Amino acid sequence: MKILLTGNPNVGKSVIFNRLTGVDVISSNYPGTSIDFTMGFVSIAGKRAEIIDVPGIYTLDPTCKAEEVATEMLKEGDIIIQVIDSTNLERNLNLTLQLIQTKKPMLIALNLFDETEHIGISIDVKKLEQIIGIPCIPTCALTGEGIKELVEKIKEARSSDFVFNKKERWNEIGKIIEQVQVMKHKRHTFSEKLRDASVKPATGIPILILVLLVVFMAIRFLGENLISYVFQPLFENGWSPLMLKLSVFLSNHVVLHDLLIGKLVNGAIDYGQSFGLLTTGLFVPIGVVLPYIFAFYTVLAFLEDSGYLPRVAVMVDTIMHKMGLHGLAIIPMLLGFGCNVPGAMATRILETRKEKFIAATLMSIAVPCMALQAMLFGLLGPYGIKGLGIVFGTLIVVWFILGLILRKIIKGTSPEIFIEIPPYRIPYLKGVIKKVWMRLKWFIKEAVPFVLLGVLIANLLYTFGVIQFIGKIVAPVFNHFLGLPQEAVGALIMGFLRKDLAVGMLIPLNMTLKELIVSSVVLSMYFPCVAAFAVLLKELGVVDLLKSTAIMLLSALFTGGLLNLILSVTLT
Amino acid sequence: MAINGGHGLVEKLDALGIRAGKEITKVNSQWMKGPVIIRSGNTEIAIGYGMAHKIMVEVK
Repeated sequence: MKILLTGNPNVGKSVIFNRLTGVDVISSNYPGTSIDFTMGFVSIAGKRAEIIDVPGIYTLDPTCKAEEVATEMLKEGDIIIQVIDSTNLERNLNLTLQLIQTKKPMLIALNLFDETEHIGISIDVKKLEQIIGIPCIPTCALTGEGIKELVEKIKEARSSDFVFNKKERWNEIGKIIEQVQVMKHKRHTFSEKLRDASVKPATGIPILILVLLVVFMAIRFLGENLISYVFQPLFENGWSPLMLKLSVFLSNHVVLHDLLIGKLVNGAIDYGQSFGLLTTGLFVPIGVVLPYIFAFYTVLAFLEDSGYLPRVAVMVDTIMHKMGLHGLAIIPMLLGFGCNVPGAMATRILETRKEKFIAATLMSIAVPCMALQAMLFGLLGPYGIKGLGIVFGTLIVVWFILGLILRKIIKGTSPEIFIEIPPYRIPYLKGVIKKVWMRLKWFIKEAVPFVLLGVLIANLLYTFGVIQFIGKIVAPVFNHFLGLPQEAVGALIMGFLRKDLAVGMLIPLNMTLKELIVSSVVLSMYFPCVAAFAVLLKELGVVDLLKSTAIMLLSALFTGGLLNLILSVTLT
Repeated sequence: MAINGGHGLVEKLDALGIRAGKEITKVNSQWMKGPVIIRSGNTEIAIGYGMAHKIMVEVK
């Protein structure tokens, strides 16, 4: 049996799905994320049934891609459960009446039912059931109230015999509302005041800056402390002794020793410089990057589920339009800060080719992923604002200026923003944990093998002298134009595979601050990692990706050269 | 209110319950002809300045 969970966006559908199934699922508060559907299983009277979380829709006459997908999926279900936002009954019933016409057995979950009282709405559930002829169950997904009843009633799902005039749909809904809903005079609640203040420019922009500051500080605080109190000690005290033993054991097998352990620095393992598969290869993704990935996704999950992101989209809309994008494009950018791969996937919420191209290109060039940032913090952190400030400042300037240029040269249109602003909601903790866990799992599965492969390839390339050879060829450009030693070439080659590892390769070179800044900026800009590149290929197509890559390389060279010039004069 | 826009805009708004004759409130707007937020019932949506321009209202 196939059960479909459907409803308007932002009605708590995914939380209900989480409650029903307990399977891993991504649930977010902004429209557009669940264009990929999620599936799970629920047991009804001892039998296993498939349950599918359909992307949120407002109507069965599709107005966008996500709605098309959803409408198609609905045709395949045996039972439909519509999740309704009880505080918004009228709008939700619009979809109900359309669903009734499909003649499928249905069930209605009147979600957020507890909230109706707070805002002075009372709904006569019995009456509603009578009129539309479908079982209605009040639920509160956050606390789990009503979920058990919902499962029990699934077997009572039935198709409605409610007849109405299709052309007069809104009038019909009006008649139903009159009979089942009473609205008392309502007070302006605190949540509503916050809702208004956080998006009104005069108060909203300071709040936005404050939120971003807090987010940034929270990520660094979490990440740094996890590294220095958990991961670093774990590697230093737990893993290093093991590796030293292995080193003694392998002392007769030089090649294998160099591959697995790498070089010993003063008879000890140096995770930054040893460069073996089991030393640096494990330490970079797990000891440095994973803590930051965890910190980033935890903070992001709270932001997503609270309903704040659509407000950010509205506030940055004007500035994004200057770059040929609209406010929603902030979502791929934000996701890109975690990892460029989900960022690239999220460009699909943008409608036109122009928007997708600009968003993907800008993200690849000027949005450093958490893995890269984590390593940059380590590399440039000691220089304070002078190091990190210049690198991040340059990226922001490049992001904006390149956006202005791309808007002018890329053909096509950028539509206006049109999004629902959901009320603030308390994030569902179990949902947040699940979401973070899924993303971490994904990182370990996808990224760690890449880093190991990278270490392996780098070792092989050095052993066979390939990197030294390329270094000699590009040395003129490197030395004169970018002002970098030719040894840095190895890092830039590695950057195609993994950025974090590439930064790791810069550490042993003992470069000056100027060289560090230039190489960090060039490394951030010239190419996304292979994984992100593969996703971009899918999203943009070959031709556009080639164009985008050309822009990446050119802008990286140009910015690197310019930075080298400026810093030669100002930084001594 | 009335919507002076094309079929696409009318449909999109209709799906959200915003249609001719309905009472709506302008919550606020961003600076420099940025998006306008309107409320109808318990629904708030942000629409572009150009779209907002096409919605004609009778002030109450």
